[in-house]
Amino acid sequence: MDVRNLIENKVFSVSEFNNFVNDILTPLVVTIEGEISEWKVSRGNLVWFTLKDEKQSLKGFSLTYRIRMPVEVGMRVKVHGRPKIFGKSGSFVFDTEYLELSGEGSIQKSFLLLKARLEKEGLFAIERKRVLPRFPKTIGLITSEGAAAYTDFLKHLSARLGGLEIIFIPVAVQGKTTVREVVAAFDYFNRSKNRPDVVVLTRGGGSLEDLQYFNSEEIVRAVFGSASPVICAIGHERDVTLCELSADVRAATPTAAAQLAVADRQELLSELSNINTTCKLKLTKRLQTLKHQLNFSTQELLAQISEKTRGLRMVFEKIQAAFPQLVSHLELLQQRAKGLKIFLISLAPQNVLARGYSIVKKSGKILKDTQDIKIGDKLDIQFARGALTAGVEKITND
Amino acid sequence: MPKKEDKLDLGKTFEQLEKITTELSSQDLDLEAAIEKFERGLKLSEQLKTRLSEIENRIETIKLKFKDTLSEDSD
Repeated sequence: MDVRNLIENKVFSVSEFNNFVNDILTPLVVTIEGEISEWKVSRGNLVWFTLKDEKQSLKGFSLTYRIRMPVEVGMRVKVHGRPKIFGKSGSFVFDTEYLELSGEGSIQKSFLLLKARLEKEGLFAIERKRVLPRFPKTIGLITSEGAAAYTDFLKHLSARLGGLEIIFIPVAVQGKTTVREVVAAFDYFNRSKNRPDVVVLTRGGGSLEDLQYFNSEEIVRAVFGSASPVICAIGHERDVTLCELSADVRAATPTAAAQLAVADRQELLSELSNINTTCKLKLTKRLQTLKHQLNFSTQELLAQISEKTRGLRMVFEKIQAAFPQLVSHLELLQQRAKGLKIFLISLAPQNVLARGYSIVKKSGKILKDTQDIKIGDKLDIQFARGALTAGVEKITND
Repeated sequence: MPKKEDKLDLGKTFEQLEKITTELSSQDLDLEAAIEKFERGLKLSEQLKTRLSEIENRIETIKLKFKDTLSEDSD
């Protein structure tokens, strides 16, 4: 009433009037549902559209980054924002901060359009999928706090393996903040010093409208661009969201996500037991082989020793057989030596003298020829026993 | 619960055990070394069993601050 009084006699300039109206209108944040009858993007980022119902229509405006899914004419949407007069053109426009698809037909159509585009871009390509680490130490968990998905995942994870570090980022999994929160969670992990070995994004089942956030391009790109490999488990098995297609691994349920994330301790224990058995078998086999080798070598050695002994024994036997012959030969030789000795002894000068011969010397030199003597020489004559000196009286040369 | 850096690395330990299993098949390995490896395998195996007996998982919750969508985007 007061305002009316204030403006009753006031003359506004156009700008003043537009600003005045906007001051009244812009605090009115509302949500409007209707069908898109016109959709145009200008200058790459300005979105102009018309929303209609059976009777009337409304001009709308937004920016491309605020629209999180493909929108086409004919789709039913809910727009969230505020009415506004755009001063320059003077048009009354609904300034849309947030747009969501409404009704299964629109959601499905938008889903297929985005899916085709992202698929073409290679975001779902099999060759881009990373292999999950077999033994992750740190697991990043993105889901809603206290939701069944959260409890199911953690319960099944603990049932499989302990001693893990779980970094949990609670996020909204439905409602308009979902996209922003999930993207921020991925961003946090990408920048974290303690980057998880694997990230699990999960939420339980819900209506198509509830799950549609996980079809948003931002989440699909956040999953695709995650520095850590991602497991996505959204909704039930029959619900396939785009973020699951861009994930490295898709799990049907939060429980399945836990099964894919970590190995089961029972399986690991059984694997361990197999490894131990294999090691024991290998060592036993090794020992048996060595035992056989040892037996073989011992026998070989014994055989060689026996062969060598046989050779020696043969030599010994030969010697033994030849010995009497050798002895008699030796005796013969001994006898021959004895005869020779007697003969040699008989040839000694003393023995010759004993047989009646004498040795005649002149000046100590033995004489063998009368030529060496003359009449009157003194000669020394040695007998077997005794000696004498005699003078030469006559020489006969025969 | 032991600190993270003290915790036995499941992946590396299993890898070591598998390596030992392969090495035990090698004829180049002398018996003394083979027995040594076998004993090392047994020790690793016991350590793994202890590690696998852990039940608890440590959960750290990180609450990110999200700005209100509308107020941030408004012009």
